[in-house]
Parts: sequence; C-alpha cells; structure tokens
Amino acid sequence: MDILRSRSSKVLLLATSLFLALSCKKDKSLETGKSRVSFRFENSAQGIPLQLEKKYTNPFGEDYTVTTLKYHISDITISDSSKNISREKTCCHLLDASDSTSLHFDAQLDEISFDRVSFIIGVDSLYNVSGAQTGALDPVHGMFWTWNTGYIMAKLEGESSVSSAPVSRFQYHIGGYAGSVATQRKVTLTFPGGRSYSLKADQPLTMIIDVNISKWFRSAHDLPIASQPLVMTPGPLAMQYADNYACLFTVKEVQP
Amino acid sequence: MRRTSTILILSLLLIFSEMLMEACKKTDSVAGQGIGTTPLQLKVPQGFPPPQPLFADNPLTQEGFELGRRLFYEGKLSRDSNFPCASCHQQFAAFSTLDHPLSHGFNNQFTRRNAPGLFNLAWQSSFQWDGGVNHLEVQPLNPITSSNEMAMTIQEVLDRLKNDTRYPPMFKAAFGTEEINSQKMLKALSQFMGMMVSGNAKFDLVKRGQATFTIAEQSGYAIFKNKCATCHPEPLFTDNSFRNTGLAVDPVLNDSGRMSITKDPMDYLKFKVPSLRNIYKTQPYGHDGRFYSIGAVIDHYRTGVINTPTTDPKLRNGIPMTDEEKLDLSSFLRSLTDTTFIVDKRFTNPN
Ligand code: HEC
Ligand code: HEC
Repeated sequence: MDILRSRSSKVLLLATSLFLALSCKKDKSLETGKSRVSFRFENSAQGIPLQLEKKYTNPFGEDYTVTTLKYHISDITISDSSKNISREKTCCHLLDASDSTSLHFDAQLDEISFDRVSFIIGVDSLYNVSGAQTGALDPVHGMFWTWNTGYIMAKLEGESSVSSAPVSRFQYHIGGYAGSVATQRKVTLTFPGGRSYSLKADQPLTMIIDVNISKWFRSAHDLPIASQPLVMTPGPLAMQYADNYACLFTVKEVQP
Repeated sequence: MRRTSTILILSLLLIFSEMLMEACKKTDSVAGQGIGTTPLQLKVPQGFPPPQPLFADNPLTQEGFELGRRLFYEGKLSRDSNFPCASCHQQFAAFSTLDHPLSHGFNNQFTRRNAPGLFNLAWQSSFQWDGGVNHLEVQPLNPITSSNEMAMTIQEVLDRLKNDTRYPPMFKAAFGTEEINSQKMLKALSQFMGMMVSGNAKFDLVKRGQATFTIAEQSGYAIFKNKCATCHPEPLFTDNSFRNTGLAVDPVLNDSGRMSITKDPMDYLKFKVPSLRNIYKTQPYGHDGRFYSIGAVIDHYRTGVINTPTTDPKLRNGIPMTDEEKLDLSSFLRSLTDTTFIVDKRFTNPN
C-alpha cells in the first residue's frame, strides 16, 4: 500500500510535469497552416553593431553618439511576385536599442513560398486616433505625443559636438500620422542573392535584418546634425527623416 | 485499488492541466468589463445630437466610473500630491478653475492656458484650445506629464497606484484583473469624464416646456440667435470649430493657437469655440483667461475685434449691440447655468 502510494505520487509528479510542459507548448503552438519567422533586428553604424554611447562618425564627418533609438515596426508581410502573401496578425512591435530582447521577436505567418518581406515603420493611423492603447503602443514607452496626440514612429537621440542645441544634444522625434504629414513608411526587402524561401510548419526561419543608422542622416535626403539638431513636430522636415529611415533596413541573412 | 487510483490520478491531472493551460496564457490586459460589473448608460439629454462613439470599446460600468472618479480626485497622480485633476477642474466652477486666468501647477508654475469647464465631453471630437488632443482617453496624459502641471511620468503614476492597496481591487472590480496599466487608468478616467453631462439648465427646461423665459431672457435669446449662434449653436453652444475672434496677441504667452498643431498659417490665432453652457460659473474667459466678466467679452465683440488675415469674417466689423441688448443677452446666458450639474453627487470627491 505504501509502495503503491509513493509510486502513484511519483507518477503524479512525473505526469504533472509532463502536462505542464505539454500544456505550455500547446498554448504557444502554431495555428494550422502557420509557421514561425524569427526576426532579429541588428542596429549598426559604420558596419559594426551599434553600441549606445559609443562615438561614431556620420557620412558628413560629424561625430555622434546614440543614447536612444526606438522605432515601431508593424504590418509585417511575406510575399512573392505571384499571389502568395501572408500578413502577421500582431499589430505592432516596438524596438528599443536599450532593450536587446525587444529586437528579437517571432511572427506567425502562413506556410507559403516568398521572396520578399515588407513592413511598415510606424503605427497605422487608426491606432493614432482610437484612444488609449496597450502593449507595444502603451504611452509608458515614451513614444506618444501628448500635446499633439499621436505616436512617435521613430526616435533617435544622442550627442554630437556639431549640435547647436543645449549640451550638444540632438533629438529626432519623428511622427505625424495622416495626410501630408504622415511619417509611416512601407519598406519592402528582397533577400541576398535574390533567393526565395518556403515557410513550412516544421521548418521555421530566422531573418536577420541590418538597421544601418548612418543612413538616418544621409540616404534619401542629406540631413546633417549641424543643420537641425532638434525635430520634435510633424511637418516637412519630419517627412524627410521618414524618407531616410525607410532606407535603414536590409536583410542580411535568412537562416533555417 | 490500482484502478481507482489511476482514475483518480487521471482526473486530477486533467484538472491540473486545465489550470496550467490557464497559467500559461498571457494575461492580455484588454480593457473591458470585469465579471459582475454593473452597466451604466450615458443619458443623452433631449434634443442633443448622438454623442461620439466614446464608449464603443470602453463599456461604461459603475465600477469603471467610480475608479475614474477616484483617480480624478487623486493627488498621487501629481508629483507633490497637490495637483489632482480636480485642483484645476473644480466642480463648483463646472470643472474649470474659478477666478484664475491661468491655473497653478507643480512648483509654482502656471499653465499656458485657461482651464476650460469639463462637461458634454462625449460630444467633442477634439480637446484643448488648439484641438491638439484627438481622443478623450489620451487627454489626461498631457497634464500628468507636463512639468508645469502634474509633473509625473506615466510609469511613476502606475507604480504609485500599484503600491496603494486601495487600487488593485478597484481595477479588478472594473476590468476583471488587479493588473494596473495605463490603458485601464485612462479608460476609467474617460468613463468618469464622459459621463459628465450638463443638459439641465433653465434653457433646457424651457425647451422641454417645463419653464418659461423672462422677457429679458426671451429678448436675449433672440439677440443670441441673431449674433452668436453661428459659432455657438444650441444645444451644445459650440460648433467645435477653430476661429480667430480678433484678440490681441499676448506678447509673453505668444500663443499661436491652432497653427501650433496644423502648422497652417491660416490657422494662426485660431482657438476652439468654447461651449457657453455654465458660462456664468467659469470666469475668467478666453483661451488665456484675459476677460474677467461676460460683459468684457461682449464688449470685445462690440468694439475690440482686431482685424488680421485670419480674423473670422463674421467678426470683421465687430458685433454691434446697444447696452440694453447687452443686458438682455447676459440674462439669456445666465439661463445656461445648470445648477444640478455643479452639485451632482456622482461627480463630487469620493473621499
Ligand atoms: C495644473 C492645472 C491642471 C490640471 C492638474 C489638470 N488640468 Fe485639465 N486642463 C487644464 C488646462 C489649462 C487645460 C486647457 C489646456 C489647453 O487647451 O491647452 C485643460 C484641459 C483639459 C481637458 C480638455 C477640455 C476641452 O474642452 O478641450 C480635459 C478633458 C482635461 N483637462 C482633463 C483633465 C484630467 C483628467 C486631469 C487629471 C489627470 C487634468 N485635466 C488635470 C488644466 C489642468
Ligand atoms: C465667429 C465665431 C464666433 C461668434 C460669432 C461668437 N463667438 Fe464667442 N467665441 C468664439 C471663439 C473662437 C471663442 C474663444 C476665443 C479665444 O479665447 O481665443 C469665443 C469665446 C467666447 C466666450 C468666452 C468663453 C470661455 O469659456 O472662455 C464667450 C462668453 C463668448 N464667446 C460669447 C459670445 C457671444 C455672447 C457671442 C455673440 C454676441 C459670441 N460669442 C459670438 C467664437 C465666436
């Protein structure tokens, strides 16, 4: 009887832990027809991984350090030139250079073959006008303007000796969600060697995306720090920075 | 024996696994009704247009409203605890700041603008004098985080609420879990403020056939319809537009109004048309509180309008009026005071 009891309690323990493992796995598991793409965003400057507060030189020869870098990524899709397309259901991700865990996330996407990935830098206008949001869009993250309500799509702050602002700071808070001041930008990227991939339930993929901060200053437009160290409102200048941040991204690698 | 214990174990396991599955679920903090909440309704006064769909994704409940009420009167939302929302929005003044052109905030600082009365917010599509805030739920973020008002960060506010034993149960009652986040806080405040409806002035009683205007009020009403109603139309007494009424620019405040939001030079010096309900409770007047009396406002319309490129076409020649008409108009404006609203127990300090 004693043996039985102790044995059954062992079984209970074992089975419980099994169920724990199983039930957790099940909860996280994929919907049918779906697989996972792990996105890894790697911020870089001058070809090396970006380190906060480290000194870099931008394409105008201006020295700078980055203290804050945050951007919203939303509406992720994979597709190909024929009709294949799959869109991630989760609305938005907030990537924050000071929190490395925020730079990696998994997206559930359909089992399709694809040769490009698209996403929007920023937050859809709907979420800008629908009151209090939560998760990545929680105003605690400091990416929401309270005096002219709406999300800051991307934020870059730091210091540069060429800045005319107090304590040599530069602050770029880029936002504006509608009409002629809309700063959301759609980015479509192809893969190294023009390759295409097939996403299968049992073969999730990892996509490594390089985010080259040097291009923040010079790509679609020339925007030296010396010309304007502070941009904090929607408008034509914010639109130029938005054109530039659309150029930061390239897919470095797709891994099985 | 063996058999019964196996069955027992199996059924136990089943229960366990159910519980564990529950435990694995991320508690998504979607704001909504908690279990056992008491639904509330926004009562639309007779003759009012339909309100904004403010509560479509924020179901009104007694518990949500009561939480919002407590938060509205909560000093902890401000750095030194002296500036709850209610310090600048006083019920006896229809939730404006009585007798202060600009309100006091943290560290002996003043606000940039006059605190407007708060009522019928569910009929407003934008907030603040320049319309910079596009939803009632996000309005509180501005005073909470402004250094000259409550001077806090949202995270600090949430931490204070989490550490106050009174709050987690109130959040649970309103939203189903004890988790406190900014969305729930803001939705609760929105429920409280959105319920502040003022539609029971003498004017409304007259409209409903329950009272009659005096001769002076009646005459004032006619003048009002003739000279003021284009911008201040009943029943809300605002058309929610932005206009330049030809006020001189205050060189210290140098407030460009709506243009600071739209960047459009045609919006320079335009401010939101305020409601005239409860106007006799909300002195002083104007976006910077420069007018100490209704008489002074009316005199501005009569003789003070300054013409600049954005001055409203309807005001370019002023609004001519005899002294007698001015008195009658004032009598009519007094009939817009809702004495039930400013003492309504639902909106008083819960402490
Ligand atoms: C220090 C004084 C002060 C405090 C504290 C304060 N407010 Fe205000 N409130 C103002 C002023 C001034 C304005 C007008 C701002 C503007 O137009 O730029 C205003 C505007 C508003 C409006 C917009 C009204 C309209 O018709 O456009 C709402 C709603 C509001 N406040 C709610 C709140 C809430 C909720 C709190 C607490 C979280 C709060 N206020 C705290 C001074 C204050
Ligand atoms: C062209 C549109 C327009 C007309 C016509 C108009 N108003 Fe106004 N009124 C406004 C605007 C805009 C403001 C806010 C002005 C500011 O502070 O910049 C205002 C402010 C006021 C205020 C101050 C309210 C407060 O809460 O501070 C009163 C009182 C007022 N108007 C009464 C009247 C009366 C009475 C008339 C008719 C004689 C009238 N208005 C005609 C647009 C108008």
